[in-house]
Amino acid sequence: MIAHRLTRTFVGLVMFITVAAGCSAAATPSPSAGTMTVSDAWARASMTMERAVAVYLVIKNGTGSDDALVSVSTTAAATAELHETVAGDSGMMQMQPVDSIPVPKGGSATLAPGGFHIMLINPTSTLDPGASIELTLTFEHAAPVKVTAQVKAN
Amino acid sequence: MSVPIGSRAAPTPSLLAGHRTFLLAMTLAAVTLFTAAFVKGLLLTDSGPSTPTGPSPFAYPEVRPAPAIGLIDQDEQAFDLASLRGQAVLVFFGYTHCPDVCPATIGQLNHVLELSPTRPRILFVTIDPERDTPAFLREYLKYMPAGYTPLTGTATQVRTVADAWGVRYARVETGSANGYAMAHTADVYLVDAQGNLRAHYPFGTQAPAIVADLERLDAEARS
Repeated sequence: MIAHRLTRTFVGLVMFITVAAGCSAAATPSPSAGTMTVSDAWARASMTMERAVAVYLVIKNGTGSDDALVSVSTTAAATAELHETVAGDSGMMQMQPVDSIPVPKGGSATLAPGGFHIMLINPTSTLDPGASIELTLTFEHAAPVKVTAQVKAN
Repeated sequence: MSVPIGSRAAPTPSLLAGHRTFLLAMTLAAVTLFTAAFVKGLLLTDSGPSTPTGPSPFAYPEVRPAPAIGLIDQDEQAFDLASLRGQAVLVFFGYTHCPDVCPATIGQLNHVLELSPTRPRILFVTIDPERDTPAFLREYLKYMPAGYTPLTGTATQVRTVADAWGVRYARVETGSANGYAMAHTADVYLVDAQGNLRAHYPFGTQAPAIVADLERLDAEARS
């Protein structure tokens, strides 16, 4: 009998803690909870001759599930592709298109020179330092994210 | 109308007067020491760039003449590396349709030009002569800072020069809308004022490390 009452008390306590924890979690969401956060977006300034321009940025995955960047759209260029530069055989740096760029849950994807990058092909105009361009990042699962990338020389 | 600064201070009890004087003296001493250290720091900083100590981590263990570069420039003039004797030269092998590796390296080399008082010459040797024709390079050069010379040639000439410099490259059909890509080694090479190959920098080397080596060459020339 006493054991039964103790069990009931314990179950009640567990239920109380669970509800309280749920309430407190719901009451104080972190600003980026459940979203993809994109920062440090920049495009390398183009020279008039260049037909391809790289865009770099950092994506933080706060959605709680593994995801991947699968495509990019922009009005700043005819085409936007996902690419990766890899150090290949005999020290050669090789660039290749990739279908997606993984963004693990609770982690991030860093697009930086010499690694993953977005390649804008045939920009619609010269990209001068100080300008900015708009991009929309599409993910496998998460909602699309609009990004403004600053144009910089380096 | 100004309010005397000390007007709100309570009269000092005579017992604490000695303590206050001591504090004041300590504060003055501290300020004096700090100021002296600061001025000394400024003077040291103003005495010009300090010569890097020790050997460069990028230097070749042995000094040897840089291989020849039998190519043509953007004006289709035959290029001779010997024509640049008397100044340091940085040599980079790349291609203009390269949107990631080459612009990143060129960005660092542009930074070298900004940082280095001696402003080395920079040779941009294409490993993609099919697209990087003299006419194309002439246009490309308009958007480069002063100090660059782009070089190209026939496929055979470019391969000969690359082999001599230890540069490897291969055409890769990627299916990209940007056309084919060139896989290539992305080192930058340093040639001294006497035409000797002195150092090489792997991809990602930052400009200050290259500038430090240019300062080492200057110090070497002065000694």
